Amino acid sequence: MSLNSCIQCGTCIASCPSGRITALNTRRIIAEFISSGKKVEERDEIWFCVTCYACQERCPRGIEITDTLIEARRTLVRNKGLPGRLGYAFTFLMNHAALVPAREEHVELRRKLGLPIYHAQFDEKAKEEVRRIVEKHAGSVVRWSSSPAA
Amino acid sequence: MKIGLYICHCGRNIADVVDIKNLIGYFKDKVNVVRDHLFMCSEPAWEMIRSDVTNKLVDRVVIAACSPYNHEKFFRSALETAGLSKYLLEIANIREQCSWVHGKNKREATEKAKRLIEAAISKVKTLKPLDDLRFEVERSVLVIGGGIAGMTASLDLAKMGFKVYLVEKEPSVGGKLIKFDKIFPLNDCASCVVSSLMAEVANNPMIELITYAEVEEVDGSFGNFNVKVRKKQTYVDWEKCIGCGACTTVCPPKAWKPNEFDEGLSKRAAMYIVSPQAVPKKAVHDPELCVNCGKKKLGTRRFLRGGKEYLTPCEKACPTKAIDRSKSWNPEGELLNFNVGAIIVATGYKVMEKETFKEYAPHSPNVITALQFERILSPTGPTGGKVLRLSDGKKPKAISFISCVGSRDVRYHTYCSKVCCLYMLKQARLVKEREPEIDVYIHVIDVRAPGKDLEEYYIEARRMGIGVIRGKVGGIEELPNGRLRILGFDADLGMPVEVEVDLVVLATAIELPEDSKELARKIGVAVDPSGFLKEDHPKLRPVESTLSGIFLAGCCQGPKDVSETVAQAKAAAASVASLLSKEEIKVEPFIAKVNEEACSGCGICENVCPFNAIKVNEVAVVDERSCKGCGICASCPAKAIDIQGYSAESIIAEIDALVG
Amino acid sequence: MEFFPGCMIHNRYPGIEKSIYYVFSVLGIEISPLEGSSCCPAPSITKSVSEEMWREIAERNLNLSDETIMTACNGCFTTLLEVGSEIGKDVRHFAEFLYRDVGIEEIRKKVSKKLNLRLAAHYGCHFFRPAEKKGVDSAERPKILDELIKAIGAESVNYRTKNMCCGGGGGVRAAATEVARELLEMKLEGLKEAEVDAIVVICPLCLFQFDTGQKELEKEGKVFGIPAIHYAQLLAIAMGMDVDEAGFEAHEIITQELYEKLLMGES
Repeated sequence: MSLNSCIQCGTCIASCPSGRITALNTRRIIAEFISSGKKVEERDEIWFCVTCYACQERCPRGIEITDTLIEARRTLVRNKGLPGRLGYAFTFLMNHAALVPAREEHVELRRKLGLPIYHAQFDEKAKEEVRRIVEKHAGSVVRWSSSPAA
Repeated sequence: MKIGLYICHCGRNIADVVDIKNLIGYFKDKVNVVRDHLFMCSEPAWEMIRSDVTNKLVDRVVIAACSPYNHEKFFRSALETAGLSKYLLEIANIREQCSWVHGKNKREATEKAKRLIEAAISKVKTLKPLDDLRFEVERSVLVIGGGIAGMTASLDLAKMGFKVYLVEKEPSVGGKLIKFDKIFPLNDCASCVVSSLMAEVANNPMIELITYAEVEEVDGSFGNFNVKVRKKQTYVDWEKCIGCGACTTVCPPKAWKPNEFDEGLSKRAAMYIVSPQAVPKKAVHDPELCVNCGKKKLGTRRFLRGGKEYLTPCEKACPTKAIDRSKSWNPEGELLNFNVGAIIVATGYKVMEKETFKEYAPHSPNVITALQFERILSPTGPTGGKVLRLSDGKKPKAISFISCVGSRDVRYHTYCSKVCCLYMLKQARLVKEREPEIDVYIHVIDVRAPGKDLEEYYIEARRMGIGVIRGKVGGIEELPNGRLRILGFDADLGMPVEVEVDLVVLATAIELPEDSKELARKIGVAVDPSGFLKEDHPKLRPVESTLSGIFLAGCCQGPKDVSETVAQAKAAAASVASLLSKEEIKVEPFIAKVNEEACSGCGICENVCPFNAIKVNEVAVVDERSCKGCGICASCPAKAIDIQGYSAESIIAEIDALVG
Repeated sequence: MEFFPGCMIHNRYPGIEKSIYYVFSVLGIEISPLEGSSCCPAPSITKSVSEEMWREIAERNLNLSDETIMTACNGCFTTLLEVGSEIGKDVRHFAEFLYRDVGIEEIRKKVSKKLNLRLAAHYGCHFFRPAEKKGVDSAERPKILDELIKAIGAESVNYRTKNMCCGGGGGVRAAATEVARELLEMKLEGLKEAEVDAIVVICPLCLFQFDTGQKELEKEGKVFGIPAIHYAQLLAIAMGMDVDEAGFEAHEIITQELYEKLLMGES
């Protein structure tokens, strides 16, 4: 369903946990898209979406609101980079095949519990395969977002 | 053979897309007369056709216009008035099937119009003059459903002198309306509106009231339907029952269940009378609920030591011996069989259950549907009309109404249930009138109050201090103390709002009950995409179903308020009367016709006919009343059967013209 | 069946993995680690950067095995299920597998130490939403985890904010930590009213948000002290695993009271 089919009933924003405390207002985002053509990807507050999908499940017009916000973030990322610590997270993904890499203490706990260590982070070949995929699709964004200047 | 072609512009509906001049030029030499008109369905155009026929300029007519569904009968009358068989007419639909759907391709649309017209010309050449079938009319009517719609229609017909069979599936008439306290816009008493009708249908000598019964089968066709109605077993002798209710008070609590009349908010026993205002006021025994507390199974006897028959509590309670468990009651009840000329379906609606809407905490006893709240407001309801919540019997401090629950929602029903805004306002006003200190909020997408006196009704609610909050509710949180927190949105402030209340009323969508859909399947009436029974034409035949002789009234056709329901019921009664007031009815002759010389009597047609309308007795014989002209029998291997007006020759001529 | 740990279980909460192997050995179902598997990658944040990157990394993981892939993380479940359905791979979530394939009755039979606890179920949004794609449970009021909690002899307590997100998803924890923290506080307020022994999750990211998030809130002087544990840990203990094998060292918030109740079982 396109955003234009929105009837501004407010179910989405009434269901939005983040909207209660942040500037995220899905209803207004859609209203301004319809009235003035303001694009969803021009709005920084879409980073406040926790992607809980409550709005999307409840939208009486069947608009895929959450998925629309996620899609808009892709353009936002290309224009403005990744916010907060997300830049570092993707650097980890590129360099360690893990958005959340292990440090020594975590490896130690695995050993203590008698568990094998088999994540791609510890497998050079696997790590390289993942690095190449990240590099291909998002290398420049990741480097730009996590550079000290960004 | 002289063919006349009449092309309609339909204002700009057709002419904006299809090049009419081009069509005229193209057909000029192919037929005897070509004429066009801005509105072929107007009187001057009708006169034009009629005079061409009268003046013998044409003896076959092709009209290129809208769907024959709209005006075929009107055009036929032009031929008939001029003394020609009205069935020597063919319509090429160049509007719905051409200009409306090909608006972007004008050139192709014009070419398609040519093909459609050529097909109609080819067909009209094969047509033979036909006469209407004439049948005697059964001057009686079946009305299904004893709510406000069914009762109104029955009474109107009875007053016009028609015999009416009014069939109601519950033990009492009255429908949903008898459950209500007051109705908008006058806030007059619902019971006062409906009670007198209930008494009238019970006492009118022209109405045979058959309650606790369901239509099982309908055969035949318009003018003469054969109807089978199953009168369910009540296990109480209604001749003797005086409706005193004594039996209903002796059933043990084990034999109680949620009371349907109170929308589950109270309990009723295995022996029950639907409501205090029930008509007929008779007791019914529910064998599925009965726990056989008297240890005397239905159909058996028990004797005391003195030889006297042992009586169960219900038998003992009955002062008129209407209850007799030793009698061998037939659990199947009784099958009634009668003939009617027409049928009105007025089976009503149901509201969606709250359980569907998990985001609104349906497990809480303090979340109820609006129909349940009607019972709370009603003096005959579980609280005697006091505004109390049922979980603890306390007066709520605040109440929230939530609109469009299941309506205007692609997940459930895309339509607006139409009456919810106003009944929420009504319920809110009744609360405020009785308990002004209760805070009342109505959460709506927007308030829809079109029509006489209704906007004013809404404004009055505002004036009374009812909080109308624009914005639909996302979810409800249940607090540890049983209160409910509404997670809403206020569009006027542009902010999320949270409201803590003690009672939540959900305006759940109105829909057609499953058993009405089954009835529709049984009698062959179509259901439209909204899930309601389909009217034949929303503007021109709004109370006619898709099957001739069967009419619709009330909410089975779509959500509507009491005023509209009554208007539609009266319209349905008038439509029935206009048809049944004649001695005989005329029916289109498009039925199967057997060529007796070609028929080998093989019997295939008899086997395949879905309407039992064809019997083989040496050769096949068609029962003209039952045949619906579906054409299945025309697949005859000996090619001995044709459908009049749609012969194999006609259809092949049409196809050849379309693909040639 | 092969176990897909994802970063959070492999690199933060290995106790969950240990517990899962224990549970499966009790149930007699074979499961082995999916070697060389990387980050799934996390659905919402990876798709927020590049959908192609998300799909390609997921495909690499899925193609490591022909067997059914089992996960115990809602994020991994989402990524692997969505991409897996496109390329014909069977992907299961630990919780729905237990509920649908093993069955509550069977679990109840295998419980040797009933845990008489008051527990708050937290499903995590991506376990069941979008319901159309997940096909696991109701979009509004799922019941699988409640049933699983009851199967170990515990009470699943209703609480006001049961349907709410933990606040950590969609990259918000990394992109706007203060928002994640405030949402967590909203969630915990509802939990506090219910007076539970612990929150039970089926996703290590929710666990991380509840656990580390509470530690962060404590620094602001907001103390809730509600431990969060993965259902796998709970079930393994109920099936007889030593409490010290559950890897609680990795948890910030584990109360002495809960530890003792887990140790003793129903008294």
